[in-house]
Amino acid sequence: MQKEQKFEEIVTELETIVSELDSSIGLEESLKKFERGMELAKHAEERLKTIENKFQKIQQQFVPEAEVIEQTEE
Amino acid sequence: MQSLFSDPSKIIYTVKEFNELVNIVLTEKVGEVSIQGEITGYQIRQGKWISFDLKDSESVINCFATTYQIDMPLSDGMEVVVTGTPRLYVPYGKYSFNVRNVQLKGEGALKKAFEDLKKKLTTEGLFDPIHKRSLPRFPEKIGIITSGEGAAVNDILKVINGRWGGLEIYLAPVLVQGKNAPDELVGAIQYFNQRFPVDVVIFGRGGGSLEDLQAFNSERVARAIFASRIPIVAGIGHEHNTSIADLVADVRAATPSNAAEICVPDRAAIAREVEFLSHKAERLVQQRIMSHRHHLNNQTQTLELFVSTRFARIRSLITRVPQLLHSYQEKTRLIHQKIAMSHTHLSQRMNDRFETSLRQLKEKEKLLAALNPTAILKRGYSITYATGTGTPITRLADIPADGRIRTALSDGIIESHISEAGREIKKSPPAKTVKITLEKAQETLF
Repeated sequence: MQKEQKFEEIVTELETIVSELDSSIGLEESLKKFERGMELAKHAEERLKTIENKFQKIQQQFVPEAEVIEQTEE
Repeated sequence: MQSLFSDPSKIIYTVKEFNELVNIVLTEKVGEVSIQGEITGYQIRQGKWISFDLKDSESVINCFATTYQIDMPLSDGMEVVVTGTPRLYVPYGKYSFNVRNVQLKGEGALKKAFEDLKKKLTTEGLFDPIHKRSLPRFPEKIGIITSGEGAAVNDILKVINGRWGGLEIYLAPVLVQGKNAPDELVGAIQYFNQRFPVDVVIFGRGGGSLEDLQAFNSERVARAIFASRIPIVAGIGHEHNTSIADLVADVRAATPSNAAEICVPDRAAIAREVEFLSHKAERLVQQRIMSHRHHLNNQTQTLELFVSTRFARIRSLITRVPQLLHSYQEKTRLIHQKIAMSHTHLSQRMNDRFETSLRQLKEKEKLLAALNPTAILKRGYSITYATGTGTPITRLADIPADGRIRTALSDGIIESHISEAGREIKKSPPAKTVKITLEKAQETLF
């Protein structure tokens, strides 16, 4: 489940946790949050190791759709 | 040409037939051509029909077009190349040029067209910052609309690959200049929006002259960018080039490479940010623990103080116990002493009282002994009683009628009977004498 989390979600959750830790939550809760934060940071670091990108050229003719309709109206 | 008029002497056309024939010649035999000239008498009717004359120093041709076909603001004096077909209007027998596409020629025309369109779209609010979509922070799918051939796509890919990984990148290769370029640019924007949703689109081309960048200054392209749901980052030409597409895009980048930098986060910067966040989290938790420890220490101190105060009181009480015990013992001892003293005093008094009583008793005893009648009897006295009553006879009158008396002596009794009684007077014979007959004598007393 953790692996399906998007990078943006990981970073956003980490940021939320840090801002929560900065607020007045209880000690026990803050320790739980901290643990989760460390887990997220680890995931993020692992994700950052991905270097490859997939590239694909779309093989098709691009024709404006609205234009086609207007021309048939004429 | 010759074949159409194979035997002119044998055929007589009607006017209409002839005009139709010429129209066929114009549309089919001449076909699509491009003509360069200067616009004059430009006007739009019913917001739909455009007409103007195209002229050079020696000739003029009347041109028609629709606003659908011409998407750039034209005006008198512009040098243009119009592409289209000549056509004869049969009822009037006049011919004109049907314009399909207009391309501006010369810096002046291009600049004026650019300024006019910019003014128009500004008025409509197409460049308004409130319409700008925000870019995703970490896109996963990126669309690129640019030439499949040029350097732009390579620059973009190089930058993206250097910054971030795990992306899906799709290139829509399009013509970026020439008369078909606007159509393809619009088509590609619509394609990504309708068929192939990506998180962000990079829209661009390398640098060029104002004429090269014309497609990016077209109104249709501007409206397609404005209508896009996917945020578009434009990186068109060089830094000094500004196109209408740049102005209407959600983010304007200086170059295609810059557009890639804007779209994709930098691995190193994000790694630093993640590191910063985890350090911050650690620091915050440590601070929290410290503050709790501090709080706990304070509490403990307070508790200790409380307990030690209590203990001190208890301890002082404990040290006072022997004192209290001592004073209690002292009190008890005094009470005991008092009791003992009282006891001595009491027995003393009791003894005294007893002795006094004893002495008194002895005196009474002596007195009693002295008064004992038997003792008197021993001295020669006797007591006489009336027999039967026991009453001592002290006077004559006490003598009972039967004359029977008893006389007690020291060692016995004499029972007598009186026969006569008379009074005895001192110094004279007793006036009365008593004649006693001794009847019996006993040695019992009383």
